[in-house]
Amino acid sequence: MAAVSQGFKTDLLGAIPSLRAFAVSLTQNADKADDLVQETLVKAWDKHESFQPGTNLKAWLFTILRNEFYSQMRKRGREVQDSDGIMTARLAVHPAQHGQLDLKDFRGALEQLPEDQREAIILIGASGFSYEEAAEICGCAVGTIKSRVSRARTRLQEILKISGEDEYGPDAISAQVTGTAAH
Amino acid sequence: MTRLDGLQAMLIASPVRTTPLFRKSSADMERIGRSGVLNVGMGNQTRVSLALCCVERLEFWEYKGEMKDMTKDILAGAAGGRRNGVGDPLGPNSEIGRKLKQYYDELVSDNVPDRFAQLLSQLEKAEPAQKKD
Repeated sequence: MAAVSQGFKTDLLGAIPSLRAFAVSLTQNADKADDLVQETLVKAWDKHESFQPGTNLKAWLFTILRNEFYSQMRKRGREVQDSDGIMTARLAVHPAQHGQLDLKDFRGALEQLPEDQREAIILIGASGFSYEEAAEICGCAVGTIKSRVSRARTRLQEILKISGEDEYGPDAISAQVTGTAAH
Repeated sequence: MTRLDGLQAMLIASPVRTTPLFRKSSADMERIGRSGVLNVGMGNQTRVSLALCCVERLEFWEYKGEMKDMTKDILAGAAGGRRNGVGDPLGPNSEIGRKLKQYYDELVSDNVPDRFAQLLSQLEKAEPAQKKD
């Protein structure tokens, strides 16, 4: 086995915050998320030779983490979800005033999404992956990712009672100019 | 018509014949393609340069024979969040998009426990590692 380069180790360290964020998004549980990240790092270390330098390390690591997550789920069977904030979202959510949606409500709503939709909207809307990269990470077609993202978004809007905001709000560019996008 | 609109018009009018603005190797093209049409929250300037990248990307995907699907993505990406559902539904103009980023950024900025740095040091020490099954 070839020695793992110092650069690879540094890059792994650098990827940990993103990996943890993705893991929490998947598991909805901070402890499980950290175990998952640990497992991912060990696996990545073991198979570092299969990583092609110059390609996207973050996407490679996300793929490992995701595979690990689903294989653990399969092993355990679908145990009852014991997420940190379980059920919070099932309580009534107040209709959101534009821009005043509480982050806690949002977290709760995200928790209610099926895993495949949640991971898709996180990869695209938060982790900064392209649809093509997200499709590679999830091992599915680009169109599948698109439809999951779209369903996730619609579902979140339903849960949070947001509707048609894009049609009335300022467009993306003027929102930046006026600073409305920042809040 | 803004510069971006002009570019979009150009892309729509003749996606196939658009001349690449910068000649790059396939690897460069791929990198540019991968750098993501989905960057959101950017200013006008960025949008324009992104659209330029899109022109290159078109060329690349045309070369790869995956033109049709990509064209749609590219145009949707370049259009930003202006068309509901067709543009960028998770852009800065979307409540969901903003909350999603806020949620995620909070997670990313969480302090990383020492255990991970320790783990990597242990792995390094253990090298050459016994292959785990």
